[in-house]
Amino acid sequence: MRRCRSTFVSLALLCAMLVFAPTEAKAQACCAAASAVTPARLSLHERWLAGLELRAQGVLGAYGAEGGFVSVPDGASEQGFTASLLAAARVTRRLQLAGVVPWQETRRVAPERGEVGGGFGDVNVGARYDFVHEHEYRRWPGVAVLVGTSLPTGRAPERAKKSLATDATGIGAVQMHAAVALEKRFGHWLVGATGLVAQRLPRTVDGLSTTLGTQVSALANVSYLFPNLAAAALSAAWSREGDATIDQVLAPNTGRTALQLAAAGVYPLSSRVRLQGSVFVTPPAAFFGANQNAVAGGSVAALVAF
Amino acid sequence: MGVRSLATLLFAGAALLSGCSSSPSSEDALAYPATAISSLGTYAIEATVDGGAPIVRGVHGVALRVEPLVGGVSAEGLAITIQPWMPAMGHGSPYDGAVLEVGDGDYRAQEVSLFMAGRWELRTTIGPGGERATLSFDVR
Repeated sequence: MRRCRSTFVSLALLCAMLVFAPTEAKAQACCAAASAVTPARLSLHERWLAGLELRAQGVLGAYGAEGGFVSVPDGASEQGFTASLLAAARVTRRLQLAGVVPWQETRRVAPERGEVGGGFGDVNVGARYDFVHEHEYRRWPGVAVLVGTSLPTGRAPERAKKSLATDATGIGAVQMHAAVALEKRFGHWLVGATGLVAQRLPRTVDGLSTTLGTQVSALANVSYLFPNLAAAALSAAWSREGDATIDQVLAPNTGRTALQLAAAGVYPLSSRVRLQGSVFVTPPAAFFGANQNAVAGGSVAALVAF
Repeated sequence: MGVRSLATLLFAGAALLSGCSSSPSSEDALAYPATAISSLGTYAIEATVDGGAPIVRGVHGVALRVEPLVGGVSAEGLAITIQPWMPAMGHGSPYDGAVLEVGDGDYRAQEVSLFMAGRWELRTTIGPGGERATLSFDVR
């Protein structure tokens, strides 16, 4: 029974975390949000996990520096597709490591021109340490610390070979993340909250030194756990990034804001194989973001765990 | 109904309820054509993108008009380089083409990729001293 309950909870948490996970980073290389902290998550009884996730999204428009929203103009469009290999391994009862290797394809159409390009993206690796497991104490929530990094293994936009930079698959900089995650179950419901801080290291392009601002993110999610170990989750993720520094000078109105809403589900095919999926949207209306694209899309994934 | 249409419908109500505009606020917009003074005050530069405002994402030619602000300085025969850059995203776009002189202070950059909506800069160096100037555009 304990194992069943642990699986129950972990599936829901996995569902929620994967909603929050690499949406931005994978789909829009240049707009990588600091959310790839837990690419895949192990249940307490699992020792390792591997899987494949397919993700697709379309750009709805863009937010200006002060929150104004403009739809994609006539004759232009953009879609992104990402296939990611996911893996996780348990080191100790409380510590697990995870990684994501993405392959990205982008189709970008501008008036009078269109192209498709892609390649390997930025690899994400992360670690999660559960100081308190969700079920460990009756009154305490689960408490975990997560750290991660995104490595610039993809191609930065300015190094792209194609004219619309569809073969850009990375941000060109190392990105570091740290987060605290809380989770608590109430009957069939599981509630979680995650706070995250991310920082990208400085990078230099053609003598131009840039450091993006520190990013702070918050995720709230609620999941419903079904008796067959399936789970459904709703989540909202908000992030705010400070202004960038260019050539040691703070560049005003370059900070970014994003709100993403998502619904996700997990369905166990067997004790070792599970399917999961999600749909997500950045609200395409003014003041839900700044200096960002608004996107909508979905993902499906198959995971095998032992 | 595509994903874009569905999402737009879902959130159109929220935007209406909150009184949000679906277009950028006036303080959001930059003046066009873009103008800048070089870092030592030697040149004034004006940049216009083919097609004019609003600038739509894509690959464009950019015309640069250089006016000397200091006596005895010529606007002709200048070495000019540009780096298209998105400051909010921390990246640029591929551009390794030369800036060609048209004559009488006019220069032209071909095939400048402004592939994403948002604020773009042309980080420009000009003249024998390598003076810097930044020309900003909003792209939609």
